[in-house]
Amino acid sequence: MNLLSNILDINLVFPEIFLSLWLLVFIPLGVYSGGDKETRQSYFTIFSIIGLLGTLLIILMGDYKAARGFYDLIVNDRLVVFLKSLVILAGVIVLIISEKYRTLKKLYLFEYPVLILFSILGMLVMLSSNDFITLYLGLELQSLSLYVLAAIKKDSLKSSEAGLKYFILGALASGFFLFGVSLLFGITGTTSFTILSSNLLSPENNSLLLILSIVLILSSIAFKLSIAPFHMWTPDVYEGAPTSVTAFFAVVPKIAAIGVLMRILYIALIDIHDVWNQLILILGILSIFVGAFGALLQINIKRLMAYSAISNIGYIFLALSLGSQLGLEASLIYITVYTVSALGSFAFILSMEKDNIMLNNISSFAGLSKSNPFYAICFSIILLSLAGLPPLAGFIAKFYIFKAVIMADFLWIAVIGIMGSVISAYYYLNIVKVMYLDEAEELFTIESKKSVKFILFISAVLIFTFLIYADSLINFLSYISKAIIL
Amino acid sequence: MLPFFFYTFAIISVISSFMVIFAKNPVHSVFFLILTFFNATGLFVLMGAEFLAMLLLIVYVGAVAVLFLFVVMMLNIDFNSLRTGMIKNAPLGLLIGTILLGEMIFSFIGMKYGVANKPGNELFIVLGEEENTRALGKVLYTNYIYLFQCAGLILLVAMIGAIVLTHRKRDNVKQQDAVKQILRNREDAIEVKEVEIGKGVL
Repeated sequence: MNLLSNILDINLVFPEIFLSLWLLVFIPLGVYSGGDKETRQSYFTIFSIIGLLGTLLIILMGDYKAARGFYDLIVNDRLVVFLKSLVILAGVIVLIISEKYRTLKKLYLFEYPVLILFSILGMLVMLSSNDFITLYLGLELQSLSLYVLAAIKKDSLKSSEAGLKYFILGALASGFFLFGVSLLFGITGTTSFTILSSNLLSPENNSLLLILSIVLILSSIAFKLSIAPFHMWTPDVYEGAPTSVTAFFAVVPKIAAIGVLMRILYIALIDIHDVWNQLILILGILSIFVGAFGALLQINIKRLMAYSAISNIGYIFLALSLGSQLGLEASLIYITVYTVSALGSFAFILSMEKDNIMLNNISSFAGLSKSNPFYAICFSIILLSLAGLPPLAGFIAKFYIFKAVIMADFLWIAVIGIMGSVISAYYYLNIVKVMYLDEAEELFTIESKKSVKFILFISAVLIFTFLIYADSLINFLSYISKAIIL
Repeated sequence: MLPFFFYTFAIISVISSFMVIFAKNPVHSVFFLILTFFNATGLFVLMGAEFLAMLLLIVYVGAVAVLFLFVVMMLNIDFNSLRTGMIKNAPLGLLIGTILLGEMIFSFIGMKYGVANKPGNELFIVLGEEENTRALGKVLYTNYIYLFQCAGLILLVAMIGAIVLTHRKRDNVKQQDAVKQILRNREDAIEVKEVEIGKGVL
């Protein structure tokens, strides 16, 4: 009986099984065919991209209907399918744009793509979790690979420091998570999201201990999302880790953690919305302002992107705190637009290199409009969108967030959020100013691979022409968000 | 009897876990850590989770803590200064030893085999009932097979990570290759040269 039902559920986890098998083939292949040689680097990247695309194909060919399997440990619906596809596509793009950087920094190791694949596998497990135990295992699989990736540049002191910092703080956050989950298990007697939502309805479960457990769980997920006040590690880790790894950190784990947060808040804990809504709201506002003020004085572009990520995730928290269908939809739109803009920015940052030295200081972008007009225009479009200027994608995403906030009668919160957005516009526009108005000491041309140029171009075009397809995209995302009906 | 055992194990484990942090000597910290694990084991036995208890002993005390001890001993600690405090520290060592011995004796006294006469008395290990190990094995490979496999993947990542971060390839190290040595023959290895008298080889 048990065995039979497991066999019937196996098609729900087919993507994960495929990716794990691919990895199990990958590792011996890498070891026995000289995986640490420069000449092999691109082969292994292509091999891992094929694995990811195969997984994507399996996900898209699978069933979109809502289904739970393995004794309610995992769930599958259109939200899961959409977020999994987004994670895999972002992972593929990060692998493509980091190729040249890895050659430059001598990161030929085949373990690099292996670890990226493992962390994506962890994210897939996280996204389809319907139980805190599944979620925890996915989270650990993802984070463990990320800790190693942060420290993968062994000869760099900063990279080792970043890895150690991330590992110690991440382990602490995992401890908080487990403590919170065990308290929740003690109160309600279950770790399953779906059973939890019905168990929490009974009033005798509503206690101070319940609030404590929810605070512990949410703070550990806020740590993974680098939400203020759990953001302290972010600038250091983003700066210390190799830039290609930073690009991965800034985009892919965020999508997975947001997806998980949606599932926890909107399925497991929706009936005690009044317990967590203020918590999420305050975290969101705090990170919008920490992100805005923290970035003002940064001269390193990687640190600036770290603060930008903090404030962007803050807006998503604002929308998620509402507990409404509109908030869910707005946060889905925002995370999609953020993914596109962050990938574009990192495609730019990873191609900024002069005489084999990476240019990480904002001042070194001076005069870029004259020497490399293509890069300057594309990056400016992305920055203006991040700043939230009207016809671009970032504006529409922010518009939907604030629309949802205002519809829930939180006018003053919308005003505070817009104030934060105005402050953060300064440092985005400052980079545009440096590129267009400042005089360069010497002009140089950027040579990067066509694929990277193409990704930068596509992301700029997607952002610039957002209004043309905004209607159909938002309808699509609204359909996706209806997977969770409130 | 049960509350007495519970409070003994609980109090000692809390005190010794504080001592892990407060002990100045890292070796002592590790010993206190082992003591904490031992008491946690006792608590598990009291709850009737004998499989978890044994696992804790084997994995944590047997492997992890001893590994910690080796690592700590490899740190640059002035062992001469440690030896001078031998007489001062001897009572502490005796105390820990006595406590451990006492716990072992208590555990043996506390354990009773036989058919349980009172339901809910966890100190009895009931004969013929499905024990912990079997019950865990049954759910681990059926209900929780997905989680079990995920945990396996996490361990694989941990192994890969450890290798990536510590393995260094050295090109200039000479290694013995037995096959190469055996396949070497006289013709390749030795060159006979006619040397004229009064001149060198070169």
